[in-house]
Amino acid sequence: MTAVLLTVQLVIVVTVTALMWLLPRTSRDTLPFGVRVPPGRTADPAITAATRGYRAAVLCVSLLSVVASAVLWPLMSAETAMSGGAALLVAGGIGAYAGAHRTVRRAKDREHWYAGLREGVAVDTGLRTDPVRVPWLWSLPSLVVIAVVAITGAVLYPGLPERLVISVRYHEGGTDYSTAATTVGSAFALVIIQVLVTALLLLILRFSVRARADIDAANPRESAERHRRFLRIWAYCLLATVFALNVAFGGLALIIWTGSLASAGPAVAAVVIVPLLTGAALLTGAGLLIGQSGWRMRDGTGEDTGFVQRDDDRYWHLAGTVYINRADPAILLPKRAAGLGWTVNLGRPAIWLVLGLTLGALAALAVVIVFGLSGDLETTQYGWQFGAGPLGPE
Amino acid sequence: MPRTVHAKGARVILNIDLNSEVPIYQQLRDQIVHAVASGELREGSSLPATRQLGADLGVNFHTVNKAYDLLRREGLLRLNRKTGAVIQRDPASGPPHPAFYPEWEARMGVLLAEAIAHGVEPDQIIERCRDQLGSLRGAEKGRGT
Repeated sequence: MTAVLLTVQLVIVVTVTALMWLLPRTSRDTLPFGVRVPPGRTADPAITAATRGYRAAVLCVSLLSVVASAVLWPLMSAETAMSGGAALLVAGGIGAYAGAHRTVRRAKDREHWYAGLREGVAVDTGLRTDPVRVPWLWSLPSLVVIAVVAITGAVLYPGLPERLVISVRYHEGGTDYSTAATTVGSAFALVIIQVLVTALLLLILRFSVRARADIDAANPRESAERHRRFLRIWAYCLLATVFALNVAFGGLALIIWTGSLASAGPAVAAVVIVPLLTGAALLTGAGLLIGQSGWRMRDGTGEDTGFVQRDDDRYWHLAGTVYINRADPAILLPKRAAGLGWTVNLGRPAIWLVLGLTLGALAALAVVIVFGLSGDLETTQYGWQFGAGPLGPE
Repeated sequence: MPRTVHAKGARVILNIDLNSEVPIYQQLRDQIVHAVASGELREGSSLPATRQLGADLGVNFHTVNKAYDLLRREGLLRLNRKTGAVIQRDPASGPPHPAFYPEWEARMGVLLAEAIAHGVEPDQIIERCRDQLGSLRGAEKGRGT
């Protein structure tokens, strides 16, 4: 059991370290570590040094986190040791990124990289008058999965036992089973989650495709074309991930309803974990290959307008993660730091309202779940038999 | 005479020089006029709505509004509540309104006076005019009618 946990932790640490190591690849060459630089400076020694320093720091932190976990393991539970190591790894990664950001920023300010350059902004009107269309039909498989799972649940519901096993925990002393009373709410919780997650991700897809594109004033035609291709790839990847998530949640629901969680345990977990990993791998892989806004998909037409993209560093805070600009009407825009995606303009009051409502809704949901289950959750040790209920000590 | 050909999905790159002395709304207006002259935009081509273009450029809506309003008063743009902005006319839409000439000739007069004051020979001026016209008409013909 310890061997399994150790292997899992090692795999996680290696994967997270690899992703952190590769992270600088996803950012545009003109946006290293969240700092805007002109095209002529993308190969500046300061940036190369910052990248090397960041990667070295990531490797050190990775080693430290493994050592820390190993040290903590005998002192406290396996889970605490692993969580502690993971927290150290993530915190260290963030610190390394912030350090690299500072290095580049200081070099840029000290040497006045934007002196004498013509700053501009560009827009391709075609992105609005002839926008990229999302292949919405590809969301049908996900909806079919939800429908199939919901119908199966409705058919199985009358025959479900009084209590459902909803989680299994293995440890040295034996096995803990957490159960919940079978109600419409608890039995269909996963289906509800499927619907909510699908709706949320489809909404994200719709809004992200219409967000402002980061068109490079130095080569607007090229970067607009790249952005279109990026959006198409993003749409397909996200729809595939939505499908994978629905298969995972749906599979888990079926497992719980048929009592397989208690009997077959780890083998059955594969039904859930494989789609999740596939979805994550797809998004991560695509992201690493094409980069933020598809910047890695260079056609090399060599367009040069003589302008450079506006230096808007002063609106980005916290190592280029937070954007605050009251004068900018845009609400959603491509993010700068740490990988692909979009961020919001916190300078727009509308966003505060939306964020507040979202957090409020999530908090309410959490409270409902906790209260709904707390009186109900039972943990029995040793054994469980589907239909017969908890068994006594073996 | 209005044509029914619709170049709806026309893609035009608008590039704003942030350090220029020319105001942003003027740059926008000038670039759209240029796009119509070179055939990138035709009668019936749409442009993004005011708010949308403002958000994409990161400039105030009023700036875009000013540019669109200038074009509207010149008769080049039609603002539509539903579809945003639509190009009203292009080179093939027929001769200009008589009111076009006085103001344009006045500005041309200033340009010519500048050249003469700096000692450019008249035939040089005409030569350069021909070159510019040539590249505009060439671009327009290249896109087909």
